[in-house]
Amino acid sequence: MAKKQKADLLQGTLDMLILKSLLSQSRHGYGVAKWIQVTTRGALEIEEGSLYPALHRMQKRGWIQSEWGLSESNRRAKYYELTPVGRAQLKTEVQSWSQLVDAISLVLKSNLAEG
Amino acid sequence: MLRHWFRTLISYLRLPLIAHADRELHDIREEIEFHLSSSAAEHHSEGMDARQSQQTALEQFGDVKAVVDDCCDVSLSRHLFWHRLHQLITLGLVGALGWLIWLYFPSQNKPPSDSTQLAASGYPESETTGDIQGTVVAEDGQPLRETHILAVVKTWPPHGFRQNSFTALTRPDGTFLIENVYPPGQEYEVQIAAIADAHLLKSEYISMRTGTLEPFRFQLTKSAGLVLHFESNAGTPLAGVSAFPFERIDQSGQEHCIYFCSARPVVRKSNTEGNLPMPHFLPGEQVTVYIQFPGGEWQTRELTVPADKQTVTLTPEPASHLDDG
Repeated sequence: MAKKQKADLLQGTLDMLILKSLLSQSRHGYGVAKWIQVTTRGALEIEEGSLYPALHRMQKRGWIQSEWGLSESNRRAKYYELTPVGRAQLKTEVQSWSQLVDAISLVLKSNLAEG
Repeated sequence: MLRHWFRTLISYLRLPLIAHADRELHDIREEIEFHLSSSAAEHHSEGMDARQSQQTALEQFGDVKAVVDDCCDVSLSRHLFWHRLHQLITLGLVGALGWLIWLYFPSQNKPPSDSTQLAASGYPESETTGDIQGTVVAEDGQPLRETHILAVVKTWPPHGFRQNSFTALTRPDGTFLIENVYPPGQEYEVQIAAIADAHLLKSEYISMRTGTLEPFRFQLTKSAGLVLHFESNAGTPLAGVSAFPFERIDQSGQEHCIYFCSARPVVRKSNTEGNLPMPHFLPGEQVTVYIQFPGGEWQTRELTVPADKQTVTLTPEPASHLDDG
């Protein structure tokens, strides 16, 4: 069986993905990692270890807030949710990302035409 | 943003940095343990045995200790601002306290400066600038020299009452001056008496007032030549008996007196014949004298100055015959 190719996460996109994962509902860290994995159909698999410092950093910036609660398995887990500041930040990051993608697409299309 | 700051402040106040570090470490470990066990459970449900599931979860997660350290650093830095502010305020308070102590204790140990030194009035010397001055003349208007001026000044400084006596003798021109004895800006009272040989005792009382006193003017009239004669109960003349005139009531009913505390310059002693001149009254006047027999206490004797003779005999026993002389 051919091994599935996984994309490297671009620098700075982890925050955007985490914010996006919390847009619809609050999640614990493991839930965030699973949501990204499932949503990208396994194409993006974040380094789990890097997820938690990112969550704490975003909480420090006021983008997200946390609260202890009970998980599906009835265990104590820390749930993160988006704050109004985080929503605004997500919007900004999505706009920046779109501009970046457009710019890269232009470059790639240009190369294709020349080729 | 303000809400975020407020939330971190409350979090800091609930649990300051040192205690916060322990709690944060515990929370992060619990959070990561939950992640690892959830990951291992998923692997286990996919068919891995328990040991392999845990091993795979750990490998996927990475360096747990490094992650815990990173999280702790980030989390504690949230409180660093408040911690620094806390330190700054504490330092400021300690500094302020030290400054107050430094300010308070040297002023306690330092001798009072000249400007704050208290005068006898109980007020600072700089406030006690009132003088008592005046003139004493005889009936014919001629100045009376070497008249005793006995003044008592009462003041009410904070936390007390003061009564101080001052004495002076009139100059050849009959004037007298006692400097810096009352505070013109505060309330005070003055009792002043003028007493000269062969002249009636006169005094004035200035009731409570403020401001500067006008110069006094005493016109003393001639008196009768009263002599107090002291003898023992057995009839022996007593030498060394001290006495001074305390009070007389003139014909208009006005009282003239000398305060005990100011009387020292006019205290006289009886001679070997037991006689002591006290030429400060008129015949027929009700007077009071202070007397002190040798070895005894000061006492007052009321008597009526006889109209027909110049001598009054007094004995140590305060008997009914005191006034019979």
